[in-house]
Amino acid sequence: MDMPSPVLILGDRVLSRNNINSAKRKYKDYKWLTFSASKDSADAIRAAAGQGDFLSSKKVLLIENLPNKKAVRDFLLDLVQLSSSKLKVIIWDSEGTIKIDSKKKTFSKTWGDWINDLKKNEHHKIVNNGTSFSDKDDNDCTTFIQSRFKKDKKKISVQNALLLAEIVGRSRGMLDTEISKLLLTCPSEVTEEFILENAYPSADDAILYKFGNVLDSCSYGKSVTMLQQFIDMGINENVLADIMVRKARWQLAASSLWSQGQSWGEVTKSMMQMGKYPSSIWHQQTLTPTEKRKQSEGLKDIEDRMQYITKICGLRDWQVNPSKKAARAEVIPMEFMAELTTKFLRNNLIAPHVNQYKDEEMKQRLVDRSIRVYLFALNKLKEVRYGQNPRQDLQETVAALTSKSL
Amino acid sequence: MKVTISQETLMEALKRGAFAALSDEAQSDTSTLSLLIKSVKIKVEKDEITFESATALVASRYVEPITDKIAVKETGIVMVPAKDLYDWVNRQGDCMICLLFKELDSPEMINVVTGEADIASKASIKKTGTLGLASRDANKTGSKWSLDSFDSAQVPLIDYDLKSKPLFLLPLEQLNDGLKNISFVAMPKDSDHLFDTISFQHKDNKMYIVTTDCARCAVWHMPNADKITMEETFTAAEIEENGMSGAWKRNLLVPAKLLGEICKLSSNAAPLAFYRDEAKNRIYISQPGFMVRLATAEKDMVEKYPPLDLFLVKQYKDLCAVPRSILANRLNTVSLVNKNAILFAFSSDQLTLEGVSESGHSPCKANVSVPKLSEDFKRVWNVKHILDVLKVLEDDDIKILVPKDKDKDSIKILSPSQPNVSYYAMAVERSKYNLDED
Repeated sequence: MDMPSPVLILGDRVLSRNNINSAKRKYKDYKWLTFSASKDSADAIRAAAGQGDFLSSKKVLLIENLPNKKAVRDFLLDLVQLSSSKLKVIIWDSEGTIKIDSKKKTFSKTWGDWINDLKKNEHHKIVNNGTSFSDKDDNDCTTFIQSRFKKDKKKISVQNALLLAEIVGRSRGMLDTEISKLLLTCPSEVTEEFILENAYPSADDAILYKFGNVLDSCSYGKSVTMLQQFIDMGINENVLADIMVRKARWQLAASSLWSQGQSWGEVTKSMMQMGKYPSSIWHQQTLTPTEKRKQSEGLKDIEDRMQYITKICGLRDWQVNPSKKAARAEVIPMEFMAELTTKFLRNNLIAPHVNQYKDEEMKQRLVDRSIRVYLFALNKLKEVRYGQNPRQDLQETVAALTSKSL
Repeated sequence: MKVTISQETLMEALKRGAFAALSDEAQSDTSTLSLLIKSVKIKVEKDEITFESATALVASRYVEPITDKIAVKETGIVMVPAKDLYDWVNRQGDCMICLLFKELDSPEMINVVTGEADIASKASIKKTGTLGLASRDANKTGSKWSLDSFDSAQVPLIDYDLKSKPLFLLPLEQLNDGLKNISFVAMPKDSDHLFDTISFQHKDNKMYIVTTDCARCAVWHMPNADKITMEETFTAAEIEENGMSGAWKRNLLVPAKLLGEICKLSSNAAPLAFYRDEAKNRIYISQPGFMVRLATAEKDMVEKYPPLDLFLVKQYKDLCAVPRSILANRLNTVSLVNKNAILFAFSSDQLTLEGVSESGHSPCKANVSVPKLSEDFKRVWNVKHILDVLKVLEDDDIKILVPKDKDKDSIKILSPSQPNVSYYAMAVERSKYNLDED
């Protein structure tokens, strides 16, 4: 089959590189010449395009590093017109110069016009590998992951697809590479356990899932082993200590809510509301979630929030840390994380002592335990930051978090 | 093992026998076998000492016969890091060097990754002892050092005992001359190991060496090649009828960089013999006592290399003679505007060079007088292709030839003082220059 030309490849770098590698394999009888549109001169590229060859070889000009320069765009439009059965041109936007408007999902006018001119060539092909999925693109992201597994006749639920995206990150290339690896060993239906066990944590929050999951198993040995693995991978001790403080804080929140009489289902829902409203609104138990949302609408802007804190709540300007004006409150990223926390409390702390303590005493002990563990983890976080032996402090925090004692 | 040898003899032997271990490929190796790949095996026998080393691409063996300059007190085998030994010997000056092997009571396993003693594993290498080095000059002073010696049985044996006849013999002096004149055309590196080689092909009992990157080519005729048993290159008619299948039998491709280094280590006293191990697809280059084995391009890849007949069969006619230094000067000037493609317009006993660029420079023109121009001619050429040729030639005037047929897409450059060499370059098509006849 004859190769199309010109070809424009844009979007995700890893997927684009894969496209080029597979094209090199498919069209291996062509001689591939690579140029940089930023560094190599137009003269050099044109000379290579026209250079005669003793064996009349067919050649492909692969032009990378597209700069945002009109002269280069015009030159490339001129160059691609030389496309023939013996000369093919591939333009790869390897540095992501061609930007896509995230709202309109279209190219900017400059690049849009240029791409339209490129399309006027009869045998053109545009390969758009897309950009990273944003937080709002959950549907696109899960569809991408599910279709990737479906190609190999494997299934993955929407929930697990999201979990994978949270662990690996939302870059299409990273997801594609990780899925290729997982497909080698995954069962026909990809489970949450399989993902947590096998997916490589490359996203920022991924360590939280992986490490948090092992901590919830209450196995000190496994947790310390994973702790060591993360440290060996170059993860800073502070990050790991911070994760454990977050885990302890979530446990405290869940314990507190349960001790106030909420069912475990309600506790999970309440935890998911954490950080979404100012605490003064969130703690008003008489308000419904809709009312809470309405009241917090007017506090989205930083200036409004500052006014609320000083004028309604009565705090003085100097009492508010100006550097934290824009800081976001902590939220639990996904519902299953809240579920894991309540599951941990039920299965590992309450169940072993269900015959030992009555209901009220159990609630009191659970909250006391959660406060103790949280304060201990918080203190150890300080020790990790400023102390002499961060590894020992981390191991002691692990011991506290994996303890089943009430 | 205990042997005393003069520094000069040991140095020359190491250069040849440790050729593979001292190569860039071996020295940059990071595999678990890197300690062995970087080592030279020294086998001392009563009548000769053999130095051997090998990598995946190149292997070398040198045999030094026992003479007055060598005293063998005890035979044996050691395998020591070649670079360390070479550097130490190189620093000793004129002296006698004693090599004394001290065997360990029991072999020690060394972990390649940590460098520490280890239990036997895939990442460990067996150390059998240490090789003591001691030098002593005429003043009875010198230095002492020692190197770890590894078990030479850990590396596979290379069979240098060739049963087949050589493909051809070449006088070293002529080969060196040829390489000096044509090796610049070969690419520095080619992932297929095709165009970074020197091609040996012959036709009508004339041996030629060829270098090309497909856009330009240099051909050198070796007048005194001897005992040619290699199959003759394809003729144009054969290619048209049967294609290039089996081209590897008619075209010996030797890595250009390594061949240059081998020639420097070889002696003018005897011709270089070229062999091929067809089953393993390896080339052997041999002189008495010195043999090198080289990897070459995959057999089916050789079909992509232009056959010699492509250049020999095409008829060219004289266009003109051009003063070499003036042409080089004018080309250097015009290439300020365009470093890649320049228009050559031969007309009215003048060569006009024109550089036009897409980078904003205004066009630049220069001219050279070319008396007795046979016809008007206009083509675009790569500046580098012409300038490189002008650099290696030493004549005052060079001859430019153009094809006799209508297909005038190539040019031939000859040197009147060097009849063995010819250069070819393909034109640049689809350029921005106006090629319409005036």
